[in-house]
Amino acid sequence: MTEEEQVVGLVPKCKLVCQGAEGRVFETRYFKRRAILKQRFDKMYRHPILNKKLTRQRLGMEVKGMMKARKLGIRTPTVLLVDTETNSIIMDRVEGITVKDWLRKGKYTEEELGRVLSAIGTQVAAMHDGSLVHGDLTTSNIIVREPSLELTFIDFGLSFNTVAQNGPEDKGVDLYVMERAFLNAHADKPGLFDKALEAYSQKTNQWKSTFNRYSEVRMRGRKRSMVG
Amino acid sequence: MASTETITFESHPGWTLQARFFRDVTNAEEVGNLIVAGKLPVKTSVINAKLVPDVLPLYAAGDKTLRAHKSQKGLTTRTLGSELVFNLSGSKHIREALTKFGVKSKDCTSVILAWFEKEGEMEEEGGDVSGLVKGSAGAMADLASAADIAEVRSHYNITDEELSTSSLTDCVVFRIGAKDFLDKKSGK
Repeated sequence: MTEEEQVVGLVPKCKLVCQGAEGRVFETRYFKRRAILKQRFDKMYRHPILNKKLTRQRLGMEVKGMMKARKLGIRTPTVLLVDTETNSIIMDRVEGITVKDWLRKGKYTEEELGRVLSAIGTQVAAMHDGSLVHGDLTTSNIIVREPSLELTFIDFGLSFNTVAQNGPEDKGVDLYVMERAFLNAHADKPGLFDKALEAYSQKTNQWKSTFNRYSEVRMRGRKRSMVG
Repeated sequence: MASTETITFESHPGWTLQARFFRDVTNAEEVGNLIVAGKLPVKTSVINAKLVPDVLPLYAAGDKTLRAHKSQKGLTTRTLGSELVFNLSGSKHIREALTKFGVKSKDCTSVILAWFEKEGEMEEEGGDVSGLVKGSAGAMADLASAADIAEVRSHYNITDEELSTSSLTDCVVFRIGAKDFLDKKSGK
């Protein structure tokens, strides 16, 4: 059924691109532009009222996260329409490939690699300094456009605004998730994350507290111990 | 004769939004008064073009309007025409949206006249009221030059940082498309 075109959230000619645990991503067109439609589906095991509330809340998290990121000078897709009736977000399609594919293809010079990694670090630091936590910083959630090497961050579905007292913890976890993502997806190329982290440390103005907490998180894993 | 741009909606087959652009309009306030008095067709909007930098915002607001029209909740405002203006504003304040994007002010000189049409539906009243607008007809492509960038930016609250990574139109469309979630007053 992958090649079939279907109507999703009133939009015709949607081609399924991929399916995750929370939603499906389609490719379509929206007023002369190539667009991506992201639809969250109903979870049958949830109570309908809870389901509706959670779905709406997460739709909001995604959109608000993107808005905030844009205000901090970070590229994100442009949201074209959010439809709460069908739980879908339509946004423009970002040209380029994921950092994951880019790294795997390996067609870059050392200098380009350095530029991309330090840009990742700098931009994540900008987000964090604006108290925005992305929540899912994997190399497939960053798109790089060639040849300019501009980065676009996508999938803000888990993003949130952190409050001061939880800041270091949330940011530490965010960095830890990113480290794991680099390690797992690019085990053959060690040291990538360290370069990004170095750029992060130079950009952020909360390095000390975040780094301390990040080291702690590394020791214990993403989840906080609930003992005691 | 003014050139009319027909906007078709992928998501709403049969529906179109017809739009015309006028500049050097001398009687905007008068037309605005007619709208407020309910004397113009319900599917017609008269929009202050100063705040609309492109056709895409019209499309996004139109799509939103038609979705609301079809949904159970229905429209937020009274007519399709006013709903389009309301949706364009990206804010939840109906009155503020209508005064800002409406034309009932002396210094409004460029105007977009837009009206919805539905295929196969015989209109008891045509949405086109071009005859009422005293001004010279322009093309919709001229919207960008008629927009007041400073005012667009201050209305939609667009920062330099955002503009460094994205076009003005994209910034505006983002706010229209996501308006249900962006306004702080919206609550749950």
